[in-house]
Amino acid sequence: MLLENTQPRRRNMISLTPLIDVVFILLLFFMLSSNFTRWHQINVQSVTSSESQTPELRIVQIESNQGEFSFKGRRLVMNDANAIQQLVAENKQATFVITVVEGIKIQVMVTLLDQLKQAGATRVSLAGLAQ
Amino acid sequence: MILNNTHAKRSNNNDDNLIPLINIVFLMLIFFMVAGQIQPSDGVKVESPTSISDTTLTPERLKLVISEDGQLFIDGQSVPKEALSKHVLNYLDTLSDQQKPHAAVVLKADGNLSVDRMQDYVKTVRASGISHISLMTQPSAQVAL
Repeated sequence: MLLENTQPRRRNMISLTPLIDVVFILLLFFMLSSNFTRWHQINVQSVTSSESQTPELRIVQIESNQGEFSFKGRRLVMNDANAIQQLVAENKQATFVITVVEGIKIQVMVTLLDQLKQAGATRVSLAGLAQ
Repeated sequence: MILNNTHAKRSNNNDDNLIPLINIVFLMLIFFMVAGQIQPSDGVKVESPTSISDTTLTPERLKLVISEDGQLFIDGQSVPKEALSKHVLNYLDTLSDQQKPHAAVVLKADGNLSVDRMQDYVKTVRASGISHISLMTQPSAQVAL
């Protein structure tokens, strides 16, 4: 009886605490260093490279960081979703090219691009970037 | 001796109580290992513009990080403007002939950087022979309207 008792006890002598320590350190490492951001991208390509026929270009120029932009001499504001929808409806086949004046933030340009796309524009280009 | 034996038994019992804890910790460990991605640091804090764009980022391309004050970082190291074309050409050299036409550059620029300051970098990359350029964005929290 005594022998039988001592054998399983000895097998359990190794403590679990160091194992847990290591696992916790690994867990902390992975928690702190892992990144869950799902990155997306917007292609910055010249308009002519992707299409054979010369597309109808419509230049949209951003005028201020508050979201004002001009289109064919008209001055519009980015928050005006109706105006943008009307603008896109008038130029269904056109490719919109976004250009900017000096000092416009990237976020403003990307927001206008999003809004044009949401209003139904299929072809919007940031080609103005490379001019 | 009997006392010692009971001590040993008690410690065994303590360890037994730890097993559910370890199970959970292991589960969390596996979750973070599998679901999280470990990325090399950019060298500078960059707040990418938010967008509704749903094109997922294609990996294996040269990543240019441009901070809010217009500084350029490649592989976590600050790079002067003049050295960019050299870096791009070096990157092209590492590619095989088949890969070269598909060579691409992704710009991770701060949303508050002005577009004209980024244009300089875009022009330099174009001039160095890579025309596939894309802008890295993060999904926006709310849909902008």
